[in-house]
Amino acid sequence: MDTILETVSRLIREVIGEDWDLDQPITAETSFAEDLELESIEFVALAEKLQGEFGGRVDFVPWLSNKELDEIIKLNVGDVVAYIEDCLENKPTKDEAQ
Amino acid sequence: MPEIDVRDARFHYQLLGPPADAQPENADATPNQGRRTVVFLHGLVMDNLSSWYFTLANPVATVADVLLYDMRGHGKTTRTKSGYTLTGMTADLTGLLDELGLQQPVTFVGNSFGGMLALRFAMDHPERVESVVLVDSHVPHETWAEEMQATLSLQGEERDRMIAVNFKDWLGRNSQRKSNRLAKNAGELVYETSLVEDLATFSEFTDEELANVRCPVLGFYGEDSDIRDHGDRLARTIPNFELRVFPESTHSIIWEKTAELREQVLDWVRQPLRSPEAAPSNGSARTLEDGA
Repeated sequence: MDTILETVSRLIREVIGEDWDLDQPITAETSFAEDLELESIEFVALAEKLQGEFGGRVDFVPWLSNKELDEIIKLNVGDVVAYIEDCLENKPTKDEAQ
Repeated sequence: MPEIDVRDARFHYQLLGPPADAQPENADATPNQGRRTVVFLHGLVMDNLSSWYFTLANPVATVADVLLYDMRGHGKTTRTKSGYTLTGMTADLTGLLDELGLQQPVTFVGNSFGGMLALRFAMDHPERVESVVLVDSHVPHETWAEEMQATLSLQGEERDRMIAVNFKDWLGRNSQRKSNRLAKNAGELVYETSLVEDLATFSEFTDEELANVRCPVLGFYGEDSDIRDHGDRLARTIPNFELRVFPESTHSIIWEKTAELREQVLDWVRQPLRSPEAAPSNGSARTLEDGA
C-alpha cells in the first residue's frame, strides 16, 4: 500500500508525463511552482486524478475556495498530502465508489 | 481527465460543485428548486480553464454547480486545424451543454473573448441563458477583427513580448520549461491552425442585436483597460446591463482584482434563480471604489 506521499508523487509523474526531467525525488517540501514547474492546467489535472484515486473522499473545492492566489502559488506537495490525510480522517467510511 | 467528444474535437472539461446532498442556498426562493449552473469561459490563445479554476471557479462551486472547459485548440482540448470561427466556437459550446445534459438556463462568466462567446450564445439561444457576467470582454465592432488579427500575427521578438505580457499563468514566473511550452502551444495555435484567418469571419455585434439581449448582464471593466469603451457600448445598448468599473485595473481584472471580482460574482450567483424571460429593466452604471 502506497503512502499518500507516494501516491501524490506517482500522479505528479503521470501528469507531467513525457516532459518529466527531474532527477531528484519528490518530497513533502517539493513545491509545485518553483521545483516542479507545474503548469496551472497540470495542477487541475493532478487535483482531478487525486479525487479519482481517493474515490470522492477528497474534494478540493472547499480547500481551494478558501485560498488566495498567492497561497496557491506557494503550495508544496506536503500541503496537498496533509489536506488529503485530513479528508481521509474525517470521512473514513464513506463509499469509495465515484 | 474528463473529456467529451463534441463535433470534431475532444474537449477537456471539469465539473465542480457543492456536495450532492447539499441544499441550494436559494432553495426557498426559487420556483423550480433547481440549483444554478455556472459555466466559465476563458480567453483566447494565452488561456485555458485553469485561470478560472484558480480564481473564481472553486469559490463559486461552493454555492452552484460549475462547468469549466478548455475551448477548441486551448489547454487540453484537441488543437484542430480549423473551426475557430465564432459560429464554430458557439456550436462547440452548444454541443458541449447538450452532451452534458445541461438544458436548463445557465449563467455564464466569461473573461475577455469568453465574454464575447457568452454574449453570442445569449443572442442565439436566449432561452438557455439565465444571466451573463462579463469580465473585460470584447464586443466585436466594425474593425475589431482586423485589430485582433494584427495582434496575433506578430512575429519573433514582438510576439515573444506579447506572450510575456499576456502570460499570467499562476506558476509562470522564471520557468524555462513552462515558458517554452507556452510559447510552443500559442505558436502552434496561431501559426498552424486557421484561428487568425477565422477571426476575419467574426461579424460585428450590431446595436440592434445587443438591444435584444433580454437576460441580466453584469459587466466588469478595468478603468485602464484598452477595451474599456466596449463596456460603455454595452451600457448604451443592452437593456438590462450593469457596468461596474474597477479603478486601477487593466484588461487583466481576473489577476489584478481577484478577491473583489470573486466576492461580487459570488453575490451575483447567490441571487435567486432568474427566469430567462425576465422583463428588461433600465441599464445603469457606477464606478466601484477600491475594496468595494
